[in-house]
Amino acid sequence: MTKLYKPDSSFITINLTATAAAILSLALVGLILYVLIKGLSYFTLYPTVNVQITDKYGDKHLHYAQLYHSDKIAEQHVISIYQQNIKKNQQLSVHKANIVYKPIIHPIWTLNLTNGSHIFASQLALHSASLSPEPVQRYSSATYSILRDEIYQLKTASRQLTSELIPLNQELAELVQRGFSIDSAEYQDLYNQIIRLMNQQQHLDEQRDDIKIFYQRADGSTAQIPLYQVDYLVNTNELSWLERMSVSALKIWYFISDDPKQSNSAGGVFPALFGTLLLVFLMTVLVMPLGVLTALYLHEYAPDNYFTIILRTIITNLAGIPAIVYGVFGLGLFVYVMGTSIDQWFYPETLPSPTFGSPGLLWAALTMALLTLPVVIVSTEEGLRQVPESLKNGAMALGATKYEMIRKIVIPIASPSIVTGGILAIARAAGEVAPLLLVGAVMSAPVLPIDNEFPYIHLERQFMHLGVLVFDGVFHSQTSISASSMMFATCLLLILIVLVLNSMASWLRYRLKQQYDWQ
Amino acid sequence: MKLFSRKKTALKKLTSEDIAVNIESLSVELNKKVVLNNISMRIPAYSITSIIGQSGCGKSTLLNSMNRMNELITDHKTTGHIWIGKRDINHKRENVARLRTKVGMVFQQPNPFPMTIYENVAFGLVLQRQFSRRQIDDAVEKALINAGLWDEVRDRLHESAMILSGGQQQRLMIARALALKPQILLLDEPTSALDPLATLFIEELMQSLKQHTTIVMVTHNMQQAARISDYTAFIHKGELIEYADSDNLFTQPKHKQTEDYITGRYG
Repeated sequence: MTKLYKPDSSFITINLTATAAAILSLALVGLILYVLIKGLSYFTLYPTVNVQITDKYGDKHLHYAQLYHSDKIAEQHVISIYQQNIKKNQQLSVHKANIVYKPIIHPIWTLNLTNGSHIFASQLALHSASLSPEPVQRYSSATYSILRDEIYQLKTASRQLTSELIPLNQELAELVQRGFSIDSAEYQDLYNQIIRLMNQQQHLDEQRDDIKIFYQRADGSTAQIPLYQVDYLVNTNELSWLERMSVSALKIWYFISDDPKQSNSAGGVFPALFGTLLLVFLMTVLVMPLGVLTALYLHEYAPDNYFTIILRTIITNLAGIPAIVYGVFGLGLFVYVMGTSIDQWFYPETLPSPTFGSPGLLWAALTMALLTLPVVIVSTEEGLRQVPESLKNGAMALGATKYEMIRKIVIPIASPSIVTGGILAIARAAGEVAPLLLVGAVMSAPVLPIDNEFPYIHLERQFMHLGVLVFDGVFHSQTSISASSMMFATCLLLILIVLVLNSMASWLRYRLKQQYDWQ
Repeated sequence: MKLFSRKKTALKKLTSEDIAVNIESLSVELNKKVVLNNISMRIPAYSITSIIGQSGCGKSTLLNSMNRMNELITDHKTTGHIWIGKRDINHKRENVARLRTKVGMVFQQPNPFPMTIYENVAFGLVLQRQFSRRQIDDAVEKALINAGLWDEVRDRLHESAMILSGGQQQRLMIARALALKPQILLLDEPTSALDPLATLFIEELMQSLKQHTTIVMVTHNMQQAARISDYTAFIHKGELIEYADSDNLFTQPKHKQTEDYITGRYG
């Protein structure tokens, strides 16, 4: 018997396509959720505990510690303790047989130090010569804030002295250059002045160091550190819900505004955030005019011949070249050739130490611009193709020259596509790491590319980048939970930046589309 | 009812002062194909001249030659002369942008720019960079009044031109061309995309415009040509077959081809 009809197989197609879409959305949601959960754990407050740990020799140690997993029946308990001798936190994974939780008699405070470590301690006491009636008092928030004010004033005074010292030192150097001998009266005057100021500053620093905080460890021994080394202190066990939230918010603020500490495994990411945004900004400034002009030439002016077709094909295929190749190219051309030439022409006095002849922000921005150029060109040309011929002819018929026609009609109508090209370029540049490692991004940069020293923007400097920080974080994340969560928090920030930049650009594209809708 | 008044002076009796455009042996090649072959015609000033003919016979190319819009096609070649006033516009030193302000053009499909109504009309004036804001305001108002659109758009000059209807948009296109005070207005099938009422509007408008402008129009609609144009030219396969005042051409065509075309015997 012959089949008279073909069975409808749409059931299968629908299921196949829907499954593919479902898997994709699961993967996307999973990615975001994973990074979100892991990253936000950097800002959560863990409880502090009083534990007794038996080490492999059978010795018993008492510790105040931070407990990462509140699940007390788990096989392995992960805690973080403060090691006095190395002045760092250490993460321990202890078998449940070797750990005993003791009752907490005195509240355990977490002292967050400026170097990124946390001290867990109880029985806090504050010491300062200025305190009355007695120099050592039990911790109270009122006394604490008084001492904080004192430290702030001392620091401000010290900074004031530093700013006075800098010009005096320069003057001294000039005197020596002009040939004044060390015995001359002018030199001695200035020298004594400097010594006097330096003594003052040292006195201030001693006063600052003298304001201390005493604390007791779990084994009953006491210790002390200068109070200025403590960022903030918090008793995590006794906080209300609202207080926990505000401490977390504080942690987020520190994360965004602070420098990385302990070789990028603690602290904040401000230099990397700053570097990333500056790089993306510079890259956009470089790539947009170049890309748009190239696309305009290709679409509006280029003759319709084989050369144009080949050029267009090359540009389209450039987008597929691996990013590391661009990095090598940038290093070879920009840094070694262009940078070295610039040094020879403009900075011969500092040679052989390079100024522009080493990897730096400018070369990184140029390399990224090169990397994203094809994206911008292709996207812009797509937009130019959408400009209706009738509008172009209409403008020409009203006495516009070709330039005027392009500026007044073509570019406004193609602007949403141009902005789309910008979005794609930004998204690509913000996340790219490999070429940056070659042409200027470093794990740790001592100074920002922008500061208050002339000429204020130092494009030759190396810089930090969020992606590079994540790359660096991978090597720490194996050993410590806090370092790993910092890496994920950095990832989260990177995603957030790309998201914010993209939505800004999308909003702009929407506005332009509304304004120049020709249909 | 006599809707339209017409000039009936025979072409041969026109003196050179009455001629707005004098085309002398014009030939045009586009994309290596001869589109117009040795055309000579004199277009009288302050009148409406229609160009009729089959699709692809070169009507639009002839129209485009008068403000050199053919040059927008990459592969083009023009020989012969077109005299407007004392100038040969095909001369290589002619300022094309300036020429196009003197010879305005309206296309088949309304093509308003994605801007406000005001900006659309002021577009050509702003490009010239020699008028003050007040002069432009006045010129825009005058152009819109001349195009019969002022009463409809006076309250929404600064709204997008896209909200206008098709007929209004086409009148806006005419206003846009008129704002530059052109001597000659070229209309390329201006009413073919419009409904009958809008068409009537445009036709009335053309009648009033011819007081101070020379109008050259390409049309497919022979009734329209017969109705409103003073003179009509029939073009067939790139050749000017017959050119006369409309009454004569439509009632007593001298050529067989013309007769076949106007009586509808051509396919």
